[in-house]
Amino acid sequence: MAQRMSDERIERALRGMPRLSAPPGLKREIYARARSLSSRRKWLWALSPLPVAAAIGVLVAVLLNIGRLKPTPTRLPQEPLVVAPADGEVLFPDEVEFMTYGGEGRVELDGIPITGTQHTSEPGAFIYIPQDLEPGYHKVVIEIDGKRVEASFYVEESE
Amino acid sequence: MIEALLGFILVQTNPTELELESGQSEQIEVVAATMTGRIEGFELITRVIPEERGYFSGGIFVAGEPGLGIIIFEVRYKDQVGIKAVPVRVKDVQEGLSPKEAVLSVGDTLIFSVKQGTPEVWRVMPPWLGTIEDGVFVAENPGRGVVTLKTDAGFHKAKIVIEGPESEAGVLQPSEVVLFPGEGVSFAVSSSAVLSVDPPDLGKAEKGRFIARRPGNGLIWATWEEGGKRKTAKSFVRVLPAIFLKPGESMELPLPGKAKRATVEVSGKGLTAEVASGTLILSATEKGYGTITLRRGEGKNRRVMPYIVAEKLVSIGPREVSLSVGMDFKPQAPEKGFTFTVVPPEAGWMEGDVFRAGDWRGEAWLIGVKANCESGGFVHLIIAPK
Repeated sequence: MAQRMSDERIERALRGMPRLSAPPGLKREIYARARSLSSRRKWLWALSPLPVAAAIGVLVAVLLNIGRLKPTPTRLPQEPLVVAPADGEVLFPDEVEFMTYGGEGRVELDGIPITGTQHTSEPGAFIYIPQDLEPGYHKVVIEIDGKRVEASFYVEESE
Repeated sequence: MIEALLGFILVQTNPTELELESGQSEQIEVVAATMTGRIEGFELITRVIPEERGYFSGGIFVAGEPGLGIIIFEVRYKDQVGIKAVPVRVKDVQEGLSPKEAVLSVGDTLIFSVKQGTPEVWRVMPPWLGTIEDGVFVAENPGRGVVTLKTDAGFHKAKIVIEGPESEAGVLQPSEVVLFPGEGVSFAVSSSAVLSVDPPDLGKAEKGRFIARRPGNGLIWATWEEGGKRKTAKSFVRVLPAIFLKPGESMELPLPGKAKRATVEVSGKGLTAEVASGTLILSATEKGYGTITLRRGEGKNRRVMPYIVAEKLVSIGPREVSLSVGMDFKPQAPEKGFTFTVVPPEAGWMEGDVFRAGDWRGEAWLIGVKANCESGGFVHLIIAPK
């Protein structure tokens, strides 16, 4: 409706003018500009304070519901876990192993680093098995995410 | 952040850790809560790592094979997930030693009976709790620990509690020491402190000082009176396997476990070595240096120890250093004129007075000697990937 009104107004303004043959495409260009102006006004109206607030409200609601609509499972525990022999424990060589859960830790046995094996079905779990452990006392230091666990234990001769 | 807050469930268990014998079971209560409070009717998924450690069913964990493990409790509630990991220790069924547990007073005597196997080695841990000989335990100091027995059929443990005012945990500084045989360390303890070494043949401890005798690991225990209370503290000692002897000296090293049947060879001059009755016997004939290689069967099962035969053992700083492949390290000799040898050679090389780690992983050594082997010292290198 508003579109038709603008076109009529342009026609009225041109009516009083001497009849000259307009350059080709001028009328079409004038119409196009008029339409563009009209549509810009609509957008300016849309940017008034009330709709802006409404739009922000909708955006916040969408963000707040993202967690419910698309859950991100918490795969790791809040604190990394270290499983190691107790301080003073007596073990056979094949009983000595260490575990971390919540990521790979830094494990040193008698000052020498040991690399862990990531558990196949539980990616956060690592198992560390020392090789050729000699009988006698040993000390393990395990560090993971700022947590430090140390224990000295005794390994019996297995034969 | 919003996702993290909304997707978070706090999971707690009671108990928070488990210690069971194989076949035993224990109920575990699992409680879950969100930011708004405790939740009920959640879905619980459990996993045991490794699987052979046991299984969880109907709120009860049943212990499987002996060893360490983790039980993972995964709680799912309205598309939210929470996890709690619980450590579990499964012990072997104790049938070989009786009693399994005992509460004693200082001075009491307890006779353990062996139900399976022929007794070989008895041990008290910690050793200051008392003495044990042929299964007869005599309580000497209050505290808690274990008596262990190795038989030809297996390994058994019994818990012991010795009543009385237990000693308080003290601090022994340094709490960890790295030495070479022949070197010593002084501990910051009062003059009244009594030091003991476990195993006793690792070295000699007296008047607050420990002197290493042979390579190996051990504990130095200190006990003392403070404010009318008895205090106990320990320090972990590592005596590195590097041999220093003066010309004409000899050393006997008890070989552990499988190494008792090892063969030995010496690469270098000034030293002879042989294995007899599970003991490595070393004799220094003249000044020199090199390596002793103990082989236990074919393949990689070997241990390399550096040696120096010289008049004087010197400290080359530091005794032990951790390096990554390609890293440099400058050993600090006490005076000029030292030359360094890398053992094994594939571990790296010397560029002037700087060691550069090669593409190697494991332990290695620098042997530093002064002209004509007047004096010498070692550096233990631990080379790990970046």
